[in-house]
Amino acid sequence: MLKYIFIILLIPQVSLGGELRGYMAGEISVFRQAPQYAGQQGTINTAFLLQPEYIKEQGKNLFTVKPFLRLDKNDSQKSHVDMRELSWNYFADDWEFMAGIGKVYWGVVESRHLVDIINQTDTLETIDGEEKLGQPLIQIATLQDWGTIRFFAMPYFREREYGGVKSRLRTSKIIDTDSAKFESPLNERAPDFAIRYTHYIGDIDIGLANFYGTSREPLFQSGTNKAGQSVWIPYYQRINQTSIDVQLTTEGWLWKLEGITVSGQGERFNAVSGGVEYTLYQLFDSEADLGLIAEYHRDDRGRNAPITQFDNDSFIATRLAFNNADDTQILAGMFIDNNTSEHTFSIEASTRLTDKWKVELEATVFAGSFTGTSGFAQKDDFAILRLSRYF
Amino acid sequence: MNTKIKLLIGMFLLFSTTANALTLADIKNMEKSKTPEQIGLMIATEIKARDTGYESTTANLTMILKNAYNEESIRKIRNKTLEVPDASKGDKTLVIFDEPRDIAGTAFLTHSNILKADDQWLYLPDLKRVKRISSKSKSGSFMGSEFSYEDISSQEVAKYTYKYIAEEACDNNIKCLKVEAYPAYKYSGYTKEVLWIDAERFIPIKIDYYDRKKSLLKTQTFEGYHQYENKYWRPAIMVMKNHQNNKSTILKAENYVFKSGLKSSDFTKSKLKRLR
Repeated sequence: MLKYIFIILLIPQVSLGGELRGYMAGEISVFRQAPQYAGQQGTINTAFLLQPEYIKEQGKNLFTVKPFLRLDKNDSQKSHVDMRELSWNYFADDWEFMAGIGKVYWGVVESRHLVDIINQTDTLETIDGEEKLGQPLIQIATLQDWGTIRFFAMPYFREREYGGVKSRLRTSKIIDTDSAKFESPLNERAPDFAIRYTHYIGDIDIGLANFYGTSREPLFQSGTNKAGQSVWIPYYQRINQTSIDVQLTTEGWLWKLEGITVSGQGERFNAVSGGVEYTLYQLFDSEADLGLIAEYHRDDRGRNAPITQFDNDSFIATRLAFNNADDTQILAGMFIDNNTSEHTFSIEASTRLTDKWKVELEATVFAGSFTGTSGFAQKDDFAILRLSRYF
Repeated sequence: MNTKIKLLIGMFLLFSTTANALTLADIKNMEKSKTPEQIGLMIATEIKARDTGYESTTANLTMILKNAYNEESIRKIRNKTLEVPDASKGDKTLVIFDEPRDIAGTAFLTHSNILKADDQWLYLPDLKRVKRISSKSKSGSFMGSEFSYEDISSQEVAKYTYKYIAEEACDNNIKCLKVEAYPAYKYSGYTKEVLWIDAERFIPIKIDYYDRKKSLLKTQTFEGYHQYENKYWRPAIMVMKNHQNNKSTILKAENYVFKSGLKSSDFTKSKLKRLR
């Protein structure tokens, strides 16, 4: 089976040159408790993942094709295919152009990706917001001594995906993505625009941005679906978001700050995320480095804006990097909701087994009073073990 | 007239370079008139002088990591270096990883500094994220190998103080100059490096590294030197042997290109995102 996948993947590389890379993985997920809601899957699930990436450089041109596939055994809603990248880049000396489907990352903070807005989050993949759906866009950049300015035009909006009846980590009422509504009469065809400036001066890296377009986060409105069941209907507003992200890097310390101000979702609201990361190098005379992270999130949005779990939350974590040949790493962290005393513990560990095989373990435990926004997840403590083969 | 002046300048330059090139005999003559520290500095300056003007280089590197049980792990890296003529600053380097495959496309940009931490950015291709990272500790392992960031970073005269010890024969009957170098950077992983420098070509043949407890930590040997552009010597193989954990790393360099046309603007944070 694996052999055939490889042979199929190698066809473009053999016939067109270029390079093929990526991974395929098997995943086992285990939920600690029986589900909270009727219809949700049981405690054990398996999945297969595949993400090949084909890259072809030709002079100043770069072509990229990067599809992603998840086949989920128990939950068909979670099985999905997404074109993460399908793009043409042209790189001149001090400017560049990109057209197609791509991914863009903004920001510096680890535990909330506040200013990062170009791509829709792939909520089916992770709850930490780091997996993104491919975004159709055109990008023009000018790279100068005084900084880089990038212009983005996005002709098509990607809706956020949510699990179905069978899915764990869902709300009691299903989110009916088929009935999604938009503030713009153009629906998902309403174009988005963004501009971003980045630069660094000495120890300071700074980014300033403005985004005008459809909010990546929907507001949930109560409604009924075609079967007459009570559901949540996503409603996507048009917003204007202005943001700043700054990092100061001094010896062992990283100081990070992100801030946004958003209009278009009820009253204008502001949010900040900031914190520090300190690294203790070569702990106890070993090769290992220990990173200590503390971050704080504040968000003063009102009821006409999409709900957030980051209204008044703290995050503390430690990152242990062994700096060994297998690149073994452990990240253990905890979110604390300062209003409700909900705690979320998470641990991520990974190590290479050989130069091509890697194993990852991820676990999350929801604890506390469950009066707040993540109460729906109180029976969804989980662990995921993933074995990946890179090529 | 113009041609004559040019000729004169040319002859002067030719004469001055010949006159400036340090030889073993010069060093022998100086042993009585100059201190070992002065001679050490002259040797270090000569090494650097003979290796300036390459502008930029690119090379493909393969690292073979061997643990105490001789199990191997392979790293493949594309390396780009930009020479920064200003002696108060270090060179700029870009490294892009091809293997192991889980980090393929990951890139490091380093603007090295002499006496303070380097400016360093990491590009994570899957997240499309450029991350400024702390590089206070240059002594940490590079990719789990026995080379530290310090070992592979640009060699600048002002990064050390020196002391000339003696002339000493290296393997293969190469006449060597034994020089001690003491790192000036306060977070260096070493208290001392002992260098054996080829007395004719002014290139390192062997280096012993002493840790912060002043014990012998590692020995680096250089093999298969080849001269490029009639000037620059580069080794085909470097071996770093750790005496304390019995691990070793072999670093092979191939496809060296000098004056590769890279510019300062190719070594910027924004250009990291172009790399694959």
